[in-house]
Amino acid sequence: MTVPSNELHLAAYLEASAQRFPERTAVVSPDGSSITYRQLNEQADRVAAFLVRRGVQPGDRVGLLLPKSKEGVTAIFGILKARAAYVPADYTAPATRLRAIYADCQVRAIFIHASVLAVLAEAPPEARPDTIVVLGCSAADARAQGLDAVVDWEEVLSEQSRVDTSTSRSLDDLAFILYTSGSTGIPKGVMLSQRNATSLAEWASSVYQPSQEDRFSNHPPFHFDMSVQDLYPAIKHAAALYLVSEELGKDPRQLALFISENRLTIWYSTPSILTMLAEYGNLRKVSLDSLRIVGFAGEVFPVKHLRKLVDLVPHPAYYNFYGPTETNVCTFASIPKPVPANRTEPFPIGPACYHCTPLVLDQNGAEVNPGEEGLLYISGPSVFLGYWNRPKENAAAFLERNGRRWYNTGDVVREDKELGFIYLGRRDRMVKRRGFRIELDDVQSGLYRHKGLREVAVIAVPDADSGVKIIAYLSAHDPAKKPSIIELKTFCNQELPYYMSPDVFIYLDALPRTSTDKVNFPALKAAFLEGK
Amino acid sequence: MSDQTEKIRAFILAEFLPGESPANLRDDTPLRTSGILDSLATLRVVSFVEEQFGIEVEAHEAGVENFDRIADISAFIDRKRAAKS
Amino acid sequence: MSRTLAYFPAFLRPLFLVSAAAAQGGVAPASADAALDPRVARAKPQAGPYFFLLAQLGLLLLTISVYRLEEPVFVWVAALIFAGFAVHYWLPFRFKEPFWIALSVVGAFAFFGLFIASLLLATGLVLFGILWLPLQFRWRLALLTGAFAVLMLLRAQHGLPIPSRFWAVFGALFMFRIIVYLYDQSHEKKKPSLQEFLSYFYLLPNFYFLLFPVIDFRTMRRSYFEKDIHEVAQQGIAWMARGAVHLVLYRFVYHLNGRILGDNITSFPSLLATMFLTYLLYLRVSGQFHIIVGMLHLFGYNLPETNRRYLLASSFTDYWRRINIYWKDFMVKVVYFPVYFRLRKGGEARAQVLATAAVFLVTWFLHGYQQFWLSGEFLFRWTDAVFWTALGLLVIFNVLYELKHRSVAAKAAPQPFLLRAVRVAGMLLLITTLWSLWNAASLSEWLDLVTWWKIGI
Repeated sequence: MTVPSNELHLAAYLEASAQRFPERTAVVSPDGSSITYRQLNEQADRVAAFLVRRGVQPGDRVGLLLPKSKEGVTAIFGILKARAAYVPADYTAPATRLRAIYADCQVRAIFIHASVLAVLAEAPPEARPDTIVVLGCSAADARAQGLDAVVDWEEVLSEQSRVDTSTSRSLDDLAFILYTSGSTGIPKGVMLSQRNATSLAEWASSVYQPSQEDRFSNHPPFHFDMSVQDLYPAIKHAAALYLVSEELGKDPRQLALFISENRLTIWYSTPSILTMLAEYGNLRKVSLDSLRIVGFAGEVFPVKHLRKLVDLVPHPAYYNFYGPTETNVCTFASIPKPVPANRTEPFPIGPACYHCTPLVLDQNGAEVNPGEEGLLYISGPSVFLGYWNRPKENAAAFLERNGRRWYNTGDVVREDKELGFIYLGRRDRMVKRRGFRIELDDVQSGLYRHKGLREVAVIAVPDADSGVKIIAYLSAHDPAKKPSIIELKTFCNQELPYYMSPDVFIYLDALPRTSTDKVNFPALKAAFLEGK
Repeated sequence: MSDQTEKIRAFILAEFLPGESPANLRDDTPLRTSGILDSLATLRVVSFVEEQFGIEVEAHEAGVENFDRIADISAFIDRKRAAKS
Repeated sequence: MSRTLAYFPAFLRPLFLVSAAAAQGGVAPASADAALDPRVARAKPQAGPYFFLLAQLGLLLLTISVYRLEEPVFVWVAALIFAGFAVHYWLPFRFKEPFWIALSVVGAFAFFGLFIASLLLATGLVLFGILWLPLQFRWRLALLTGAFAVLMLLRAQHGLPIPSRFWAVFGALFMFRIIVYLYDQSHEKKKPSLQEFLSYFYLLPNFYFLLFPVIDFRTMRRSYFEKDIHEVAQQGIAWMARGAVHLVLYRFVYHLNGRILGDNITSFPSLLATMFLTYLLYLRVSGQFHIIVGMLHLFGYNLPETNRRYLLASSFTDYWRRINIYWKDFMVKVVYFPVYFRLRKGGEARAQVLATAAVFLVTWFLHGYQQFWLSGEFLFRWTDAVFWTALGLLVIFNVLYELKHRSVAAKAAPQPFLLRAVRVAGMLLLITTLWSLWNAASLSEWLDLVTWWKIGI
């Protein structure tokens, strides 16, 4: 179902749905409260008017530091209606990091939860945004914490003025900025436009074919690009969006019940959540038969866990989505059911989405022959505008060719005529040791075959003697019966080519993860170099 | 005698099995035949054994019969020492 | 019974229990010295497991015949071996190995006819006789070398009315294993045992498979009834099954692509054809080796095997490494360690460099030596000489350059192949080595690649 081009705008999605299905539920908060499309649209109008009255100009940035709630979604649409861009962040992150993010993009206003007011309170007044909207407590309470120019949510919702930006909207407008945890620790702001977001939403709609009867989950936090694929297709088709709180998201038993009781139809999350659901969600007793689509992205899904999930929940269509934040999803693959019993290799990432044009180049920038491996470049409406205020990174990230601008994903792939792209690893996930090229993810896949291991993360560090040392960080299913290093070494000698055997094996209770639930490889590397 | 095996065990753990708990490296754990020690690693064990226990290993003695398990290494050292005296 | 149960793969256990229950009436002959020799206990027969093993062997035989996995005569070879196992299993321990030797001898006569088989036996016995003489080892070695030289001369000159088939088989049985055997005997105080000699050289599978892994003598003795026969035999059957799969694949791929004649490698298309041919040959050799070692398992020899799970998935060089495990062990034991140990007093790095060079030289020589036994001519082609010399020099240069690092290596040994296979393989190695040099990012990376046994099993 397409929207006429002059209505191709995230705010327009809401407005169109509010007109067609005003009384349908739009968003359900974690606490169970909900809001209809009519209410969402009206409240978002008030937010937009409030922001404009407070001096927020088109193109300005507005911070969003809230837990999952319908108010958060309202704020988002209010910001979009004002033709500003929202900048969400992880409200549990350290205050210094949050302040750095908001200072970097110079937010003009911010919506912040009462529990993290200290982030602003500790900053000097001139470093604070002009407009601070607090949710979860009154403005008076906020002022008591040392913040003067604070407004509370009720005040915003009682805004009387109105604005109508529908005629001046453009697909080139900045929609939101997502800060990624770069491998060197200084976050970069990925600028995404209305064009980026709507092209993704249009494409996702073609895959999901949603209707107003659908019930989308929203598990990824708003600062994670995956949330874009939940939020906007749902609103566009007047479906219901069920927000999953951070606590619920970590509790597989409750999560399974949540999906079942709310009869969710579309689920999208990282593989680690799905693995937890398969292992601990008590899925033999709780039926997830309402699901018709399960999508996953963000990291490689170990096949043995995927197989278990598909066995327990066989009816939905399973999709593997791939794409960095800078392009959002750019390839996808359908997972065959049942998952073949002897398969251990991760599934391909599939052919490019219709709105993305792929290109595979070798390290010299020449196009590779079909079927050869190389770096994946993407061009099209999904490619981001650039990093906020980072001219050097921008120059490195983009390539001009054939009159188009291509983004270097940094991932090494190989194209198969039938299967689409096969992910071979990040450039930095490949090392050379003893003359052999080792994909660290291959070593991981090999180790995953051991039944006693639950999680595996393999890193490489430079070594004076042998050039490169391969370290395997592991967590066991049962810590009391974890395989000994001798057993692991013997297993590796049988399962892997000898040159891929890790040098060191280290057990942890659980692998450290980033706020987007991926394994935190930089943290592991740093920990090892410091001596455990 | 057990002091001898402990020294050998400590050396192998430190050099080839970092992070392994000593209890898992038993006297009868196969090292060469399981691939934990390859032929070059064996030469390092040979050097260690010669220095620590004052024996001289010959080429044909450095094979799997004498250098697969800690028990084998220890028995080999005993035989060499007995032959010397 | 429950101990034996553990030796069978889990999914087969229910079947086993049923057959064991059905065969409860079986009689196991008692052994006299069970208390003294642990191997006797490990050889203790049981009816249930016995029939189970036989059933699997029957299936294997069926597979070999239905899929026509080797020459038609191979079905008979396998049948003879499996029938031999059926009898061997019940014999008292002290009769087992003699029976196996007798079976092999019978097989030789059946295979080669009266003349060649007798000649094989006679020559072997003469060699053994020399070893038996009450002389110092170096004199016996000298005599043996002399005898061997005479044989080689006869081979080269086609002297005496000896069919060339004899030379090929004699070479297959003796050419490499005699080196291992003599090396081990030189450090042995006891007189050589005739039974061990015969059981080491006259291996029944070797009569059919002229291309044979270089089984180590000491390893073979040590492995004899090292574990319970049911475990060993079951593993043997598993490996034979795996070998059969490789052969099926080989046949499939071969027919899919028609015949490939890679005789003269002069252009790139034929290079590709050769690479493909080598892949096929690899599958075939791997399949054959698995079957060979599996067959020996049936008679109590718990010989080691190469790792196989990654065989069909990893890189080309890894294939060679996997095939070469017996060859590598052979080189390490007979060349690398002796040279290294002899020279290490003069400095470790120097010792490693020279030991490496020695492995290269010996491998080059043995390559030609094997060709000689199989075809009658010494393979001294200039391309080979250039290749090995260049390779050797490069490796030595690399070793000297890397003196600060601990480890040093020797070269990749090409697997000796039969006649044309040998020739193709030699040429292929030359070309792929040069090709990989061309493709490698740097010289040191390529050297790393080529000096494959720096680490690894």
